[in-house]
Amino acid sequence: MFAGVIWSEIGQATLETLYMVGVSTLLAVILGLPLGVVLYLCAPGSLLENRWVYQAASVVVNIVRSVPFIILLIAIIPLTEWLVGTSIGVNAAIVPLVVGAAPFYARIAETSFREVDPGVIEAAQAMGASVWQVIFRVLLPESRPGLIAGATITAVTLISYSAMSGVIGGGGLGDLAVRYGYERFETNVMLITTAVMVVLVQVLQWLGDRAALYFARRSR
Amino acid sequence: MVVHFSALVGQMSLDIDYEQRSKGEMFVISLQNVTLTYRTGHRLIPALRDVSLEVHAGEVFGIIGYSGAGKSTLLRCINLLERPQSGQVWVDGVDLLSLRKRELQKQRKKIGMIFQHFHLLNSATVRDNILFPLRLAKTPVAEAERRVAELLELVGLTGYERHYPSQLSGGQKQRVAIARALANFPKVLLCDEATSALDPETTQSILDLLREIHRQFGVTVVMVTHEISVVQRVCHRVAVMDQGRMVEVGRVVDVFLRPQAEVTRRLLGWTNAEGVGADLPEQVFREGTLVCELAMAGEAAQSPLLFQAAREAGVTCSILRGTVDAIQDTPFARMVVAWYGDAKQVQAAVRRLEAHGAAVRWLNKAERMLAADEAGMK
Repeated sequence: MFAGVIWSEIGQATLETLYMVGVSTLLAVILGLPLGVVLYLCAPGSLLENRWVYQAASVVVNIVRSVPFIILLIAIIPLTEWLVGTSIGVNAAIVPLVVGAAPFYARIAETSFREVDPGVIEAAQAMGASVWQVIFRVLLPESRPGLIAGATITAVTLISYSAMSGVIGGGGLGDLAVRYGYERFETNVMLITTAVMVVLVQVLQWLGDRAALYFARRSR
Repeated sequence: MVVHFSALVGQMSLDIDYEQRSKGEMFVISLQNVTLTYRTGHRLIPALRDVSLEVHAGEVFGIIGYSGAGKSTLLRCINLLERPQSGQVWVDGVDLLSLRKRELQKQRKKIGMIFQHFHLLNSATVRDNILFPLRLAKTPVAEAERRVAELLELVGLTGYERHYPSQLSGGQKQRVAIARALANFPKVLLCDEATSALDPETTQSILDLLREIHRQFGVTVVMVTHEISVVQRVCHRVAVMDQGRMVEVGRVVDVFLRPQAEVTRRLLGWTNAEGVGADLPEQVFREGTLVCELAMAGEAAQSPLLFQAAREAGVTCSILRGTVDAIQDTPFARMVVAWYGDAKQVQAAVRRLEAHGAAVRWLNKAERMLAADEAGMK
């Protein structure tokens, strides 16, 4: 079954996937977190209640989240070319992955913030904390377990998204599965790449759960 | 003529300003004609209707009422967690409603606050929770650390620095909250139902701690509660809230002796919803029996005044119900007394009690009988 499988290519593809998922998760969190803070703060009844900003941010997030990733992948090729200079390869794949995942993470962050006891935020305000101080000293530390669990979910989702980007020549395990497994009917390559991805997801979820649990145990 | 008139109006408004300013400066807390209405959908819910409140420096002031009476809203107006739609809020000589955000945040550092559900940072240790306000005030690290140690000793939690709130009991959490509230040496400490989530024993220990803090630092304390016993144990003065209005305010002893509002009597547990004495057995209102409510504080509560008065007037009486306890250090007695004998002599005995400072309230039927008796005499 494993005859003719080019192991070095699988190793290479795994590293590519890890690179894509790692970088795009990081960027998705960096972009999604502030967006989540904006969504939380501007929501009706919140600290900086602002209907227009909230609605605008909410609509943008919902649009990106409702477009199927495969469509998004192709639709933003011009943006990818402008940013990276090409639409093929591992670095090019990172752009649609981040665009797709950042709004996803923003919603997760917003939900985590909402779970912070409003009383604690009020107590901070009563002590004279500014909105910035509330964000950095209350909101972010108090929602840390949720934010970490959310980053795990995002990373896991990105593993499968990154596989999809193989369709447009994105590199990584998905690319390998499509080129060998699908186009050349080498079922064993497809099975192996899928198995590697299953292992990746398992390991990632395990690590994420442990990190979230570590902070949750301390705080609850 | 027109100029003259507007000048006069200007003068008048200056006078009003002056009056409010002077009140703002005289009292550590002064709320003037505060009105606040909540809007839920299309319905307007008046939470505070034209409430004025003055709290002296160094006083322990209670605000009591049933839930929904507006007492918490009133407390939260003091540090503007709720912004009234009209009226004035003065704390420590500063008109809070006139302040910009930054200045308000600065003033709030002088107002400590504790809550029913503690509201500690779950992700921070006891030490970091107490450091929180000190960091906001940009206290130098060494000084802040010293202050934390000092505060932990004050609230009796030395050695708990590294604990997380989830590892503490309710009473311990409230102690941390108290330490946190006191970190920046506030002039005023606001307590929003601070003991309502605690068992009676812990409540007592937290009240003892608050009393001790008040005694040591002379901080002005305003506490909201629905438990009359809390007011009785620690407050100097009390305000009673009902449906967004302040229906009664005064020294705790005076309010206990002569409650004016029906809701106060209900809070004191002296009247239930059906009226005075409705829970007394029907037999005590037998023909010819006069029944009254009697409240005495201080010296009068300690002496055998009732029986002396009865003997001197030549009547007898029996106590249907009675308690003696204390309003802080003042003994306080309250009883329901049935009198036997001539109506006129009974009245003489009661007048004698009143002369000694007792508060008397005839129960409905007795009042009618006495009136009829007096009419018959004439």
